[in-house]
Amino acid sequence: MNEAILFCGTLLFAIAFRVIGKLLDKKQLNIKGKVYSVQGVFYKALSVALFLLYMPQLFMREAIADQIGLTAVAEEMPWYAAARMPFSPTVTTLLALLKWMTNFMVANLVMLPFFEKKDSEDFAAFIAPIVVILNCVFFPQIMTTILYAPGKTVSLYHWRAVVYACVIALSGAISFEKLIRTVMTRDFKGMGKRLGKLALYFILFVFAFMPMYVPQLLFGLRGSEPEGFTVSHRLILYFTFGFPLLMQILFQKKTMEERRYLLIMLALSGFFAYFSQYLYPGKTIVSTLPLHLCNTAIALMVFAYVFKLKGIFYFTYFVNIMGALMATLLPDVSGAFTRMGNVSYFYNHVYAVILPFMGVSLGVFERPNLKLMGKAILFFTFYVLVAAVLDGWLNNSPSLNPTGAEIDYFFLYSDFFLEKSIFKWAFNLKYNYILRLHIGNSKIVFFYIYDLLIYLFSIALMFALWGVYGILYKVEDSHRELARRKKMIKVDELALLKEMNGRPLTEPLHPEGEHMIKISHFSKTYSGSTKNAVSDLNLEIHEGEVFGFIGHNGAGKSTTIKSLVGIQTITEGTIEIQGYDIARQPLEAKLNIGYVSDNHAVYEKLTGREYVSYVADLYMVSEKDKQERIAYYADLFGLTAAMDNEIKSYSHGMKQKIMVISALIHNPKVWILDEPLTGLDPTSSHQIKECMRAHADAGNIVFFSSHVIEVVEKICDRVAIISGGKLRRVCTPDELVKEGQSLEELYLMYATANAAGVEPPEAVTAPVEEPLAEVAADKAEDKND
Amino acid sequence: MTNELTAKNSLWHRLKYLVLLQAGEKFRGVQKGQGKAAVFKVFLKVLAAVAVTAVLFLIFSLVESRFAFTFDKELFTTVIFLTQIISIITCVGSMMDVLYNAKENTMLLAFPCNYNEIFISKIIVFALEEIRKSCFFILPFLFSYGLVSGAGAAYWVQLIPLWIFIVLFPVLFSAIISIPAVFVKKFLGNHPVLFGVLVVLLLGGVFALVTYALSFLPTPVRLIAVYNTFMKAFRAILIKINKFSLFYNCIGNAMFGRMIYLYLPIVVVVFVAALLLCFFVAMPFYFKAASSSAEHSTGGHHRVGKTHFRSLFMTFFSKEVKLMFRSSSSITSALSIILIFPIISYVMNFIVAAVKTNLFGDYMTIAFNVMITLSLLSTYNANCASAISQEGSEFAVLKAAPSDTKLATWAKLALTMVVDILAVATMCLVITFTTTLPGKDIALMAGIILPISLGNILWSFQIDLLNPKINDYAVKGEAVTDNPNIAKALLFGFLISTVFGAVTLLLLIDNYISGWVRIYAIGYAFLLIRLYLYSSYLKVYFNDIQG
Repeated sequence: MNEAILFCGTLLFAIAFRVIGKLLDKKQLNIKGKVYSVQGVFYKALSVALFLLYMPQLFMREAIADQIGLTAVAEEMPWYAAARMPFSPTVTTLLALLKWMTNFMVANLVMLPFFEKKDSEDFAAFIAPIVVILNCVFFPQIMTTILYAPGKTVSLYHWRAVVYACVIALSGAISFEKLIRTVMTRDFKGMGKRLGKLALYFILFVFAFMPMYVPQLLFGLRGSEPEGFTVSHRLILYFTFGFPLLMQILFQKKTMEERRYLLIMLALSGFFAYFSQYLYPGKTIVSTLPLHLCNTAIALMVFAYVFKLKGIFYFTYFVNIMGALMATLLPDVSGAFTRMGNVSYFYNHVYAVILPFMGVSLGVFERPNLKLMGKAILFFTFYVLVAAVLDGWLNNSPSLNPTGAEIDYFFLYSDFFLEKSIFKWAFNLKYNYILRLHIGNSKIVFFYIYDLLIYLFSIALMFALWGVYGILYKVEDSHRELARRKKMIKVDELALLKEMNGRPLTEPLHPEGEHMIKISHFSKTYSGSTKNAVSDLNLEIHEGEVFGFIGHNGAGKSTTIKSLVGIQTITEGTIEIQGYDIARQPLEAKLNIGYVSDNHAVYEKLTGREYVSYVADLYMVSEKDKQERIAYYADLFGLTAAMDNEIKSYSHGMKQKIMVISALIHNPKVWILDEPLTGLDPTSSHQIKECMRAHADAGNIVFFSSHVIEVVEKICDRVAIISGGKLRRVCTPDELVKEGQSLEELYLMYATANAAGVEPPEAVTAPVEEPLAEVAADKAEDKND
Repeated sequence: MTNELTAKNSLWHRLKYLVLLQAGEKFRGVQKGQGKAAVFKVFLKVLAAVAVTAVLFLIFSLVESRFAFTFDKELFTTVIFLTQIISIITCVGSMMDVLYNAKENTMLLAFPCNYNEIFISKIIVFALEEIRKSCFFILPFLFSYGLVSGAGAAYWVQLIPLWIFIVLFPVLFSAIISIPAVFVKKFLGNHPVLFGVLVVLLLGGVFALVTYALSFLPTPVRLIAVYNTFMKAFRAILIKINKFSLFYNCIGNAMFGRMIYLYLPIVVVVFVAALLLCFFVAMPFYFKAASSSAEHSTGGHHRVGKTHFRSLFMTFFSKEVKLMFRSSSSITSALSIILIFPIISYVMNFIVAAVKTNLFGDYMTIAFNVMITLSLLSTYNANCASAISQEGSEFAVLKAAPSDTKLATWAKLALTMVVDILAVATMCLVITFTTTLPGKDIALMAGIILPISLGNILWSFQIDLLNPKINDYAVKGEAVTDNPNIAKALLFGFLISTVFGAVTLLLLIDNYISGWVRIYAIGYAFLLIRLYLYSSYLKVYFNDIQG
């Protein structure tokens, strides 16, 4: 009869809510310029009401929590037999599972109007009504699990039963309203996928809302004591460290709202778990206030997440995690794994570790800075003061603490730390410095030096933990960056494949540029600098040319050359070597380049022959060609006798020659030299110049930078002048003669203008368009004649 | 005007700028607009020093309360004396690089100043660096020792000046010793055979000495039963050592308030004498040693060997082998890990075997060996955190080459691994002869040390890859003594060794067979993760390294 009334009442409520909801639809509230949907406010108010109604249920002890095992009998467990429910094991199991589902359902419905989440709505529409119906059907039995006492009749009009009925009615109203709305709007699109998501949602959260007594009720006292790294203890630790990692992987692509939902649901489950275990009649209320570090965290976390309270959150992030982690690693528990006390202990501490940690790792709260650390310290200071006052007061006030239970919030009153040998030295500090305050009949005792030490030590640990977090952030950033770059490489590879349009990757990307170096809109900015080292440089150099590149110190010559040979990255623009893009086809492009750097980059402990052989291997030169070329060039440069001596014994010129040999060992199409004549004697300088001319005359490109203007003027077919990172002029020496200007004058004009910080006249930024290849070929022909 | 010129050209003026120039490079001053960050950095460093002090104090307190240990003047003197010996040895090596082998010498020697001034400026900069480093060990040690020993006012008053003295003594002594050392090093570098013979003889001598010393150890050592006797013997040893500790005994006496009027002046006189000795004996040799060059040297001729390799990897590997055998520092480093290793392992195992008293003795021995072996290997492997950077300006050759030059890092890695394998093999031999461990346990141990060590090498490479110091090595060459990557790699190596040693012990105690299975699973998982991460980072970051 009662069940039928409850069910009908629930349905009526649902219909009423649907009607009210309909009436309020599209109605709006304007509060201080902000517009709110009246219907939304109504549903949110219902949710808050549901939460408040469920609170007493959480705070009060349930009779079923005392039963250990489904078949507990007096002979086996006389001390627990009295609490055995008057049902068969099957019914008891069903009732326990129903209580579990009710926990989950209430949390889901409380959260429902605050988040637009389809799987949560589907839970409310399809699962919650079943839970409500079952609660109605088994209402008397459910009340028995809560109020049962041997020899006493369970009254269905007990205030707890009435409140519970209200919870069921309100839950039913919300969930049926959801179901009715779903049916009426025929919202069944993509049902298969939605059911799959609902199943995942169920699996993700269902364990979080398990009542603490369920394991001991269903399985009895089983499993090793979760202490000292036993199997059960290890399982808990694996979960503690593995769960945040798993969530990080699962939620990294989810929206911020979904992440917040996850964390609030978990925080809510922790809140349920804590209060269902700790606050009930029979224990002194003052000894079970949520003021013992991890309990404070569990009680406050949900509010920190819901209302985005930074001070509280960072207090838990810096202080609670430490204590909770220690408690999880070195637990102070006894008895079997499934014992309610143990389950509850680990629920609290594991939550106190993973919830704050995940808050930052999932990005719901930002990474801490000094300001946030300051907030955390401020809140922690307040917390320590409250704990110290309550410890000192309640332990010395029999009227407030009639059972005499030790009140030891944050371990400030007991000898918890002093019992550890590492802290024994502080014993005298605690008991030699006591402050006793008498306020009326009350007395408050402070161990002020000891308390201060613990406070300061905790602050130091907060900073130490910040350091550890810093390392973790670095690791996370580094892995994220790695993943991002990997993706970029893949994207670039695919783009190149697409652009090659079925041609092999060993072919030039731009076949039209197969006989030249082409630099287009090249710019380079070094990291840490805002100024371009080279800006928008355009240049084409053709086969058969010796091309001189001159400019003052810091003009951008070496920067251009280094990007040209692929040593440095390119900020903007492209560089092509024989049609190969140096950035996108680096290996193919480099195979065509021989490079002589400006700094004698040679392994000094290798012999000349070993070094050249090493470079030849890098350029995949055959053994026969290598030996022939080494013999030829060693003879040409007069190095034959020194080839088997370590390079460290070579003179400056000899080192330069060995670099020239190694650059030419693969007979490159493009030979690039960065200030090759610096510090050389006239003979060596002459040999290298001859070599450059001969290489260009053989149909190759020689590109070199130099400060020796006479040499550039004499051997180059064309010259480029760079100043202040910009290409100022590209011309042939003959053009300058026609203009009546020397290269030196031109160079000095640009260098002086750059030094004075003014824009030089006649800046030429575009390449000189003329049939240069033909000019160069003619010149080569003349020289050969 | 004349006065102004004279002032600008004075010794102090030149010295000031020489010191500022080098110190500025070393300590990297505060950038404009980064005042807050700098203050925060200093704050963190002070916090770190305070934390070290607190940790040392806790450890000392624990030892004092648990083992009834007395922290008195004798122990203080011995600790200071022994740490100073180690400090002098390490300082000599660094001093040789800084004074004579630094690439910056070519620039400094060309400055319009006296060579003596360059010498003095280098000593000052080196000393400043040592003082900075000592803030994180010597100073915390002095503070915590004073606290735990309940030292009197004399200790606290003299703490700061004597701390400076304690830090400066090794600097001054090593400056003097580095003069002959640099010539000996050069000579031995040109005579590798003689060098090899000397190393073997030296190590043989050390081994004989150690074996002789260990023969006095009564086995089995029952620490608890003979605790009082042990402590008495320990005190006697301290007193004997302190007899040889020369003026360090005077520092101990002065700090603990014994005849300060006599001992403190002795310390000051010795300091002044060392200062004078340094400047009047070492200084005249400085220019000759610092300005010598290998150009036109007659040594370094090598016969033509195999110069062509089928694979690029072998090209790189061959180059690495040649460079290692031709570099005295590399070969010394490799030889020391292969040859000194067995001696340390022998001593440790002898002591552990002597105190082994319970059922878990074998497990302790295994875990201990795993930890010690990994720690020692990590000191060598940490050098890999400069492997890419050490290429210096030569890195341009790799960057400009049209081949997969990433293989060069794998070749370097392979060479380090060869040295590690040789070291582990010698360790296994030593354990076979010094312990009663069954052969299968030794083989299992070797089988797990190698992957962890390889993982450690990969990690060290990764540190260098992500934050290369190519420009530093290009400018300074082998004189780079403060590469933070190496320090980081050392720290990681030490942590991994400690954690893995502890895990080994715990898992073996839990269950011998499943313990080994789990140890192998963890070890090889660690290796696979490091391998995956390193190859990923290499693929993504190698091409971005810019010389």
